Amino acid sequence: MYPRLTFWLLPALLLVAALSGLLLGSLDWRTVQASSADIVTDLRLSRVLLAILAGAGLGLSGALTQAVVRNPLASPDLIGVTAGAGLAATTLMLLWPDLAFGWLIPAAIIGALLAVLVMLALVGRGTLNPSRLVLVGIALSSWLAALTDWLLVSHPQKVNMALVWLTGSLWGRGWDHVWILLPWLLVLVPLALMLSLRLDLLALGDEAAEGLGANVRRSRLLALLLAVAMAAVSVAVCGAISFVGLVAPHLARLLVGGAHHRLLPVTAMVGALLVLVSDIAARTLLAPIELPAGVLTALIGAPYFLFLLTRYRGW
Amino acid sequence: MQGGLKQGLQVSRVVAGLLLLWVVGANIGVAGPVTPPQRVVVLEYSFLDAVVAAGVSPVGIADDKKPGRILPAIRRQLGDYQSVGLRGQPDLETIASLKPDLIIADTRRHQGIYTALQDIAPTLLLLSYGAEYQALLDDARVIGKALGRAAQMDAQLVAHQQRMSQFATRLRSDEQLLFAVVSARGMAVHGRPAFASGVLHRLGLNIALPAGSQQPYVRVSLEQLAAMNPDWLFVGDYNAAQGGADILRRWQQHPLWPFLKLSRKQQLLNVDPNSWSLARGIYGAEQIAQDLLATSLARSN
Repeated sequence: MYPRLTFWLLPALLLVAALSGLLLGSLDWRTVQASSADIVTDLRLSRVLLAILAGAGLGLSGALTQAVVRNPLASPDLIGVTAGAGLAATTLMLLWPDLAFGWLIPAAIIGALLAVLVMLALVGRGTLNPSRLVLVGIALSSWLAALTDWLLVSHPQKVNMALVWLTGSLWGRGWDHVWILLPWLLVLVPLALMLSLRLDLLALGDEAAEGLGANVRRSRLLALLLAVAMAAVSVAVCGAISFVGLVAPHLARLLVGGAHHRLLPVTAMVGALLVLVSDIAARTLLAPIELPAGVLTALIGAPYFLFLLTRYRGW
Repeated sequence: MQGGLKQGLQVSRVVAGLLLLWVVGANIGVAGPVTPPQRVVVLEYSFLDAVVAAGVSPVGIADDKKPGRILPAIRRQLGDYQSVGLRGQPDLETIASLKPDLIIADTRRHQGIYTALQDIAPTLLLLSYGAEYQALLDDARVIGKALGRAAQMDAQLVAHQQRMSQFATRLRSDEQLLFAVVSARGMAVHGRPAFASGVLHRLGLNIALPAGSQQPYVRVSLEQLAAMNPDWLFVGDYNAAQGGADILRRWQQHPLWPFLKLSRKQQLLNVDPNSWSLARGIYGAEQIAQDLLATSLARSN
């Protein structure tokens, strides 16, 4: 645990990454300067900001989910939130393609909420058994993904945008999307940070938390709602960028420990850094062909998830 | 579903028309001589076809980073151009750096980046993926107007019709033809609205159609192919460079295969998917006709 160092170093790293996001792209810097300044301000800056916002949202969502279910394996991708948001957004994109982009966010939130409700109903009342949660989550996610696939196969002419979106990519995203995502996160992130103390109490166990005067049910519900909303808005804008919600809180916990007033801001920064670096790599590695940033985050995230599974003793 | 699609098409037509008005109108609004677009970026092969037919060489092409996909007849008329990446995900930075004065994009594929493209240059949205042959010719006329070369384009289209009519007189058959593309993902036959089907129809040939589907591209199994039972199968293999998609090889070993008409008549032909499926324009249509003339479908007299 290096809280002080982290709080100095992480913002600095984020700044460096953001600057390199402005300097790097499919064109080299000299070409960019020769053509016009618009490329940096119109295209790169908006994507850097979006990556930071979406990454922070996904990371925070993961941290809240893990706090609510007190389970290190939980993350929005695993409990069906991402798949639910994905199904809702794909439905919207394929069946009502002329609808404005702004509708995608409420639709994604509703889809994610429904998925979580189904998930909770399936897991059943009482204690949220971690292995049960993960298994039900995986099954539910696969089912939702199958529905999404069916939609894609039955609308082959319109799948292009949906496919790009489903792999998780910031391609073609710009200022319009920043202005859509920003207000949501401006409300949701402070709310999440305000929950820190209550989440710390939850970590002590339900009875201890009750004893210390916390309303466990309400805190849990609030945190879960926030987690779902933050994952859904990020997914609505940038697609299913996977594993950020799982990896970011873990890295943050390694750096600053489990106290939420430190954990949450650090998670947000780690998540932002992950998505930002992935997006820069996605833009530059094979330029002018773009890789999906979601594939790059999965490249880091999936092995880490396996590592967690091998270490986890709570079955 | 069908109604929605039609409505969507109609809406896209109207959008395209309005855009054209805007593009052309903006040019007319400028005092002095009208300056037609000089630096054009095209995000589909069909737009490339039309732009080249109008006598313009685009500065940027979404060529999937595979210049070999551009038909030789078109490549010969191209000057230096820059690849702007995949058609499905063109690179906005590269497009912006080319400082285009006209971008031609696909109504469906590029809808999501329309505002971003519009910020770079006036953008014309037309349908390419899944578009019908006749609609593509109409759109070529729209592109000709947008380029300020309507007369040249009309002349090209008239000449094209004459050539196609000539080809048609030299081709005759009562047999049913089917075009399909194969790749590692399987076989997709081209249904009634597909470009190749429209061209075959224009040439006066009969097309075998997938039952119960009005989609341009329909994925089929061997059973479905057997049910369609075409006399001719033209196959465009996207994996030809990697030794060919193995789906056909597997099907040919299937006990059902010898019973297919195309197998008994030995009328399975490999054709270039670039001209039969991707090109979707004047040059592609004529290449299809040439390919057919090289078969026994050509009248011997």
